[in-house]
Amino acid sequence: MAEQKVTLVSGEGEKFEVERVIAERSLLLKNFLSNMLNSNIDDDDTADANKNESEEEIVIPVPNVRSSVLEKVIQWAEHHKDSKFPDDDDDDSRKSAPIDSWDREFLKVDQEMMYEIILAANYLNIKPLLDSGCRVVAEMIRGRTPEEIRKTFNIVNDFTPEEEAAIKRENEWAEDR
Amino acid sequence: MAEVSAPSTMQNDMEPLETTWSFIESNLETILGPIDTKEATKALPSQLYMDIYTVIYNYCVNRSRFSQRQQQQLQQGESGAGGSTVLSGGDLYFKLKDYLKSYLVQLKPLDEDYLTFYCRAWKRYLVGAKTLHYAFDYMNRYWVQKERSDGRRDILNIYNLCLVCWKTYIFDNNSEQLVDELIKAIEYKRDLYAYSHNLQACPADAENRTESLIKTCVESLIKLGIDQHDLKKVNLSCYVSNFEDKFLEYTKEYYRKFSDKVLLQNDLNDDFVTILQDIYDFENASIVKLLDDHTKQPLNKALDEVLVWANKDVMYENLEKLLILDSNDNDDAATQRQVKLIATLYKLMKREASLVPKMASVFEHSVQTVGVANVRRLLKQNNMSITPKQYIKNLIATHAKFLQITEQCFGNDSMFIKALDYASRGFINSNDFATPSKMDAGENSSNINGDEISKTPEMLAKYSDLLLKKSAKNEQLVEDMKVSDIMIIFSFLNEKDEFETQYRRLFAKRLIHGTSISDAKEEEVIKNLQKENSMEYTGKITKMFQDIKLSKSLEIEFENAIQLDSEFSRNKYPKFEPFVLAETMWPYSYNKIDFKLPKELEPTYNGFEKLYSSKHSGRILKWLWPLSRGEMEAAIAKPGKPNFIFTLSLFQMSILLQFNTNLGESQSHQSNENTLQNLCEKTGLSQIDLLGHLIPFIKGKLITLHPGFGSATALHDLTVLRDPNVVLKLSTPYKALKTHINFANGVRPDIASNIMQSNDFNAQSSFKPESATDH
Repeated sequence: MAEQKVTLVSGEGEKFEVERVIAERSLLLKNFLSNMLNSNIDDDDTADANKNESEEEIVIPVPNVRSSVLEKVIQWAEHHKDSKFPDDDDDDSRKSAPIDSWDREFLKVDQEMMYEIILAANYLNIKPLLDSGCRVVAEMIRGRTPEEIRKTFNIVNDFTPEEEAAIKRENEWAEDR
Repeated sequence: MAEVSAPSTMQNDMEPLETTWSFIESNLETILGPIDTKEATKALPSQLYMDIYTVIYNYCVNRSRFSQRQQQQLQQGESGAGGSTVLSGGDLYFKLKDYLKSYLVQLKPLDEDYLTFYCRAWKRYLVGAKTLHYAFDYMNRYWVQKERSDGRRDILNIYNLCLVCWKTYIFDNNSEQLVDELIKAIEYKRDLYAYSHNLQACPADAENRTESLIKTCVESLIKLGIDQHDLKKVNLSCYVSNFEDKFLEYTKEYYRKFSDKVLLQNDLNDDFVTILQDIYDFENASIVKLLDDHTKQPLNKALDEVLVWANKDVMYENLEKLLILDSNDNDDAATQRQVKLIATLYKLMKREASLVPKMASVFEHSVQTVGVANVRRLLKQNNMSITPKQYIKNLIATHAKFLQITEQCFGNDSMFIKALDYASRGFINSNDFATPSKMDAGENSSNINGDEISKTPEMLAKYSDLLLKKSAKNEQLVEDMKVSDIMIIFSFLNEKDEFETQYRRLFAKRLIHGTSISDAKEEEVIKNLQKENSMEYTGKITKMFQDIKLSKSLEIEFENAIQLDSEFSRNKYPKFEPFVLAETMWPYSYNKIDFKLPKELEPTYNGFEKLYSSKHSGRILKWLWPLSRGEMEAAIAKPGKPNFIFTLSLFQMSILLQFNTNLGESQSHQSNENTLQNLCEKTGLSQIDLLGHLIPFIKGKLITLHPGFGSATALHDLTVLRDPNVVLKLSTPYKALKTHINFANGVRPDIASNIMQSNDFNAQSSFKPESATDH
C-alpha cells in the first residue's frame, strides 16, 4: 500500500507516475483517492475496501495543468513528502510563518512559470504551495512604487494622468514617508 | 498570463453558465443514482470527477475574472476606484439546488416498504452527496466560504446542501410514516427477545428488519440535524424531535403493557426480578447500540418509570419475601440464588434513588424478624434450654448472614449498614430468650416490664468465660469460638454495664482459681472491649488484672521475708498464695464471719499483716475466709500407703485440724471423734457454716457419723446433723481410689441451709487465704 502508484495525466496528455502519498499532497486528488475511489454503493457495508487500490491502476487526469508545471508541482511534493504543514484552519501560524527557504529557491523561476505554479496549486488545492507562491509575489510588491510594480509585472498603465493624480491624492495618507 | 486549457466539453465562451451547467447536469443522475432503479451503481470514474471539477473551476475562475473586468469598467465612470473581487459560483449553486429538488421529489418507493426505500435511497444519495461535495470543492472553497463569512448562513457547503434538500423534500414529507416504521422495526426486536424468553408469542415476521436497516435510518436522522451557523457542530435536533421523543413514548407504552401482561401474570414469582433486569440488559445491549448514545439515558429513565417505579410495591414485597426466606436453610445453591435475586432487586430499585430508604427499612424490619425467629426456633429445638454457645452462635449467624447480604447485595450501601445495625441491636437485645416477658407481651407493649434486663449480656459473659477458661473437656467445644464473636455481639449490646458486671464476676473466678487459659488471651479481650467502648469501661477489669499481678510479686516478697525468720520452716510457714484485691473492683463483698484461724496458720497471718502494713501503711486488710482454700497432706492411709493430698476450703482445713488436735490431746476418750458442737466451738464457725463444709467429707466418707447417730451418707438422713451433739468420726485408716481428692468443690451451703431450715449461709472457701485491702 505504501508503494501504491497513481498516474497523473497532464493537459497535454503526458503521464506522470507518482506515489500515492505524493498525489495526496493535493487535497483535490486526496479527496478522490481516499473518499470516492472506494466508496461502495452496494448494500454490503463490509465490502473489501482495498480491492481497487491493489488491483487497478489509478489514472487521474489533471487537464488544467501543463506538463512542465505538473513536473514542478510533483518536484515540490516529492521534496515535501515528509513535511508537516500547519493545520489548514490555523490561519495565524500559516500567515506568520516565513517562506520556506527551499520553496524560495524553488520559486526562482520566470514569472510565467510562477503564475502557473500558483494557479496549479489553487486548482489542485495544495495550500502550502499556494501560500509560498503568494508570499513570494507579495514580496515582489512590497516597498515598491506603482511604476516599479508595473514594470516588474509588465502591466500597462491604463489610467489617464488625471485619474492617477486623483487616486494618488485620495491615498496620500497611506504613503509610507 | 497563460491560458489554462479547458476540457473539450467546455469551449464555448459565449454562454459559460449554460454550457457549464448542462455539462454538470448531464452527469448528476450518474452521481446521485438513477431514480427508477434499486440497482446500486458504480462510483464515479476519475475522468468524470476531474472533468466536473475542472468545468466548475474554469467557470468560477473565468467568471470572476470577467465580472472583475466588467465591474471595473462600470465603476470607472463613477468613482474611479478599483473594484473589489467578486467570486462566482452562485449561479451554479442555485441551479444545483433546484436540480436536487426536482430529483428528490421524483424519488419514490419501488415496490417496497417505506423504511426499506428510505434507507436504500439514503445510502445511495449520501454517496452522491459526498461526490458532489468534492467535485464542487472549488466552489466550496471560495464562493460558499465567502458567502458564509459575509453572513449568508443559508448558503451551505455542497454536502450539507444535499442533506438539507433531502430533509426538505424526502424526510419532512414522510417523517411520520418513516419513524413509525422504524419504531415498529425496533419493537419487533423486543418482541423477538420476549419470545425467545418464552414471555410472549412469536411476533409477525413482516416486521422483521435487519439491524443495519435500523442503524442506517437512525444514522440518517442524526445526519439531518444541521446547524446552519456551525456546520461542524453535532446537532441532534432532527433525531430528537422526530424520533427520540416518540420512541420513548412508545417504549413506555410497550413495557407498560408488557409489565401488566407478563409480570403480573407471574405475580410474585421470583423470576419477576430477573425478567426486569434482563430487560434492562437487553435494552442496553441490543437496542441502545442501534441508536444514538444520546438516547441511552432517557431510554433508561423511561424504563425506570414503567418497570421499576410502577412496580415498586410488588418489589418491596418481593424483597421482604426473599429476606425472610427460610434462613436456616443450609442449601448453598438456594442461598446463592437468594443472594443473587436480592442483589438484582437492589440494582433495579437503586435506579430510582427515592426507593432506597424504604428498601432499607424493609431490610431492617426483615432482619429483626428473622433474628427473633431464629432464636425462637433454637429454643424450640432445645426444649427452651440453650447453652451460651448455642445462643451467641445463633445471634452471630443471623448477623453474619445479613452482613453478607449487605455486602454482596447492597454493595455496603451506608443506608443498609445502618439498617442492619439497628435491626441487629433489636434482635440481639430483645428476643424470646433474652426478654421473654417483653416478647410475650407483644411488640406494642414495650412498656410492660420495661425494666426487664436482657439475658444477652449474661449469656455473652458466659460465652466469654467458656472461651477463656482453661478446661480439658472444653477444647473441642471452644474450637469454633472466637474473640471476634464476643466483640460483634458486644457492639450491639444495649446494657453494656450488665455485661461488665457479669464479665467481672466470671473473670474474678478465673483469676482467683487460676483457670484462665492465658494472660495474653485475657488481655486481648480486655483490649478489644476497651477499643469498642472506653478506658473507663474496662477500668475495673483492668484493675483486677493488675491486682493479680501485684499479688504475685507480693507473694514472692513474702516468701523472701519469711525465709529471714530464724525459726523458718515449712511447718511454721506453709506455702502461701495471697490475693490482695481492691474491694470495690471485685465482685466479692466482705461479710464478717465467725471464725477462728487455726493456730497452724497464725505465723503466716501475722507475718503477712506485718509485711503489708509496713509496705502500705494505712491500708487495712480484710480477710475473706470463706473464699480461702488450700491443700493438706493427711497421713491417715493404711500403713505403707502414700499420704493423701486433700484440696480443701479453709474451713474444711480447720475442721480436719481439730481431729489432729484431738489426736494430740489426752482428755478425749477417742482421738478420732468429735461432737458437732465441739467442732463449732473450736473453729469458731456457726453450725450452718460448718455443715456446708462438712458435707463433702461425709459424702466422701472421710468423716462418718457415730453409729449411735446412724451411719447413713444419704442426704435425707443428714437431718440428724441438726443435733449439735452428734458425734463425728474421722475414718482412719481412710480408703479411697485416688490419693488426690478435692473436697473444696463439694461445699454445699444450700444443703446446709436445707438441713438447718435456715437462710443464713455463706459462699465457698479455700485455703489460699484470701485477703482484701481497703483504705
